[in-house]
Amino acid sequence: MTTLQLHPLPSMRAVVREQFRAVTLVTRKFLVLLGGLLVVADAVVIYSVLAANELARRGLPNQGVAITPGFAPFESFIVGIVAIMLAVLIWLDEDTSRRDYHWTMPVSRTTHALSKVFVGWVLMMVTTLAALVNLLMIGALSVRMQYPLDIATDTFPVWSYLVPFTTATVAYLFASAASVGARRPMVWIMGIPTVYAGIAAAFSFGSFAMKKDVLKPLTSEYGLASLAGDLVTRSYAGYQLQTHFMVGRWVGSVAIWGTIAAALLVYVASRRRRNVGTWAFALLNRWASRYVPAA
Amino acid sequence: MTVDLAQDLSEWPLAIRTRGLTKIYGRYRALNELSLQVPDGAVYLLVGPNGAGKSTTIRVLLDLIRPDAGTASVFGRSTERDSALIRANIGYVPEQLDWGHGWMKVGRLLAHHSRYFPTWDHQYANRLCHMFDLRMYQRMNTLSKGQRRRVHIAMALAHRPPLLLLDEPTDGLDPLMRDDVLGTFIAHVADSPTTVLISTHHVSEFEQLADYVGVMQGGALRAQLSMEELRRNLKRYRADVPEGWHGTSVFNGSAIRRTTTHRQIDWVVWGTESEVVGRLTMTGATVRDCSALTLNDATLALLGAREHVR
Repeated sequence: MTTLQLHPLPSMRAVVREQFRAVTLVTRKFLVLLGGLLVVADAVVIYSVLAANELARRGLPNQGVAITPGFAPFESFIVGIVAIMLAVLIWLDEDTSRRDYHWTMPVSRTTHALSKVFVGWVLMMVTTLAALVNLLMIGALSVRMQYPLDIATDTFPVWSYLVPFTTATVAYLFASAASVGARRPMVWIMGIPTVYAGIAAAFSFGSFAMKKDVLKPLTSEYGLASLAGDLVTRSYAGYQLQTHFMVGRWVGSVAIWGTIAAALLVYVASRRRRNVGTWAFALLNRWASRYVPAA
Repeated sequence: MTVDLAQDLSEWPLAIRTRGLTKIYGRYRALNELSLQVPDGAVYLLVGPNGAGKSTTIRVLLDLIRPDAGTASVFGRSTERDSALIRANIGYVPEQLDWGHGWMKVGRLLAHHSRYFPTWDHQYANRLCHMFDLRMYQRMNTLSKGQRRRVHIAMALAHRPPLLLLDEPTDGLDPLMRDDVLGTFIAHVADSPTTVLISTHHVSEFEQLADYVGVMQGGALRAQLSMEELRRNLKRYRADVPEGWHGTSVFNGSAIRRTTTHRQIDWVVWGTESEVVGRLTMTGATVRDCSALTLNDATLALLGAREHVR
């Protein structure tokens, strides 16, 4: 052991704070674009309500110009897509072979990767909150503006306001795992749903039982649909579902999918293989070596 | 007897030590049982052709890649167990100029980097930026090769690390800036107690700075010795030999390289001058000239040894 006085490590607080600065900087344009889109959407809603009011005042028929804004949990898949885009963007500039700048910093590689993911997640939650607040505000505003119209807006249970946050979290974790672990994350992010859709389409020609099995990850009680507040939607579409039943399914699906995504993320952040393809190949190789004798 | 030029330097306190380091990519052995020893406080020049394993060695030291066999330690600490602490004590200039974070402005990148190194010397960083004429408001990915390289060097030096790992540090620099950078390295080493490992093709640039040299080829260390010893013991001898002369065996494996012109023979031989001259004279050869080699020539001789020793 050397007698040299070694330089200290940076504090975790300093690392997270710096990651926050860096992640905010790299996602700045994307977030501004999202804000801009939200403003445009708000403007369209307000304009449509004003136009509908004007038509009503003149006694002209309303040809479907009024948009009913407001929160609906099943629309949280949009937040999920934004979360995926954000995760990919955060890691876009980092070399996934782990030889780049980020990986040469004096922080444990796993901790450093997870701190970046954490910071991105905080940003995603803030974005989701901002979008939700905006949606609720514009909903409330347009309800007040709908004089002399009286368009009833749906009201959802309080717990369902958490659905966008959990959907965004799970989507963000999966996308972060792909971004940290794969050399071409978009290939995996787009590829898995595409392959799955292809398989589902192929099985749709088969028996009902087969089709049901293939669609299980989506539509089973703890499937991705439950995660995205599918049951709440169904309850408002006429299904008689009890609250504890809906909450139970939603919490269960969040726990299952959240744990899978988090475990995958921790695994890829701590492993040292070059990419998921190599990892998959190694697994396949190990499996094959059991059955195929070595040459 | 064959001369072993990969000498054991463990009599000195070592800043870097690798034992039997092996890294395999498919069928390609990037490192082949490499046992490198860099004495504390020394400037160690790691030279070798492309693909010799120099950059791989540096990446193992930074724990950017893990070896398939063998161990590496920096300041007595395992590169795998204490990787973060080791990186906190290293100033690294990478081989590649496109090192990531290209979207950041120079000033922002330096600020970002400084927050990871509690020992960052802001005054020194400002001095380096001024000396290298860095423009703080330019984005990294809009800079020229030389400008990027200068930013990387400033980032590596400004926290005054006890160990510098410089992978082709003068690549992309114009001759004028190269001189400035070399001067900065010399001043830095004089100011701060630093061990320096330089991997380079431009051997002659660092000749004045180096205390030790390691010659790598095919992932293995062909030679590792102090510059002083290299200058003292590796020399070129020119001798006239009688017709039908068969005195090569006199070198007993210490001849590194031989070239022949008519009856005059040039050898690069390892050994003390008086001993080599004495042995040649004994065989009937007349030594016309004996000269020390430049580091560049010595490296070429050592790298070409396998092909040229008879």
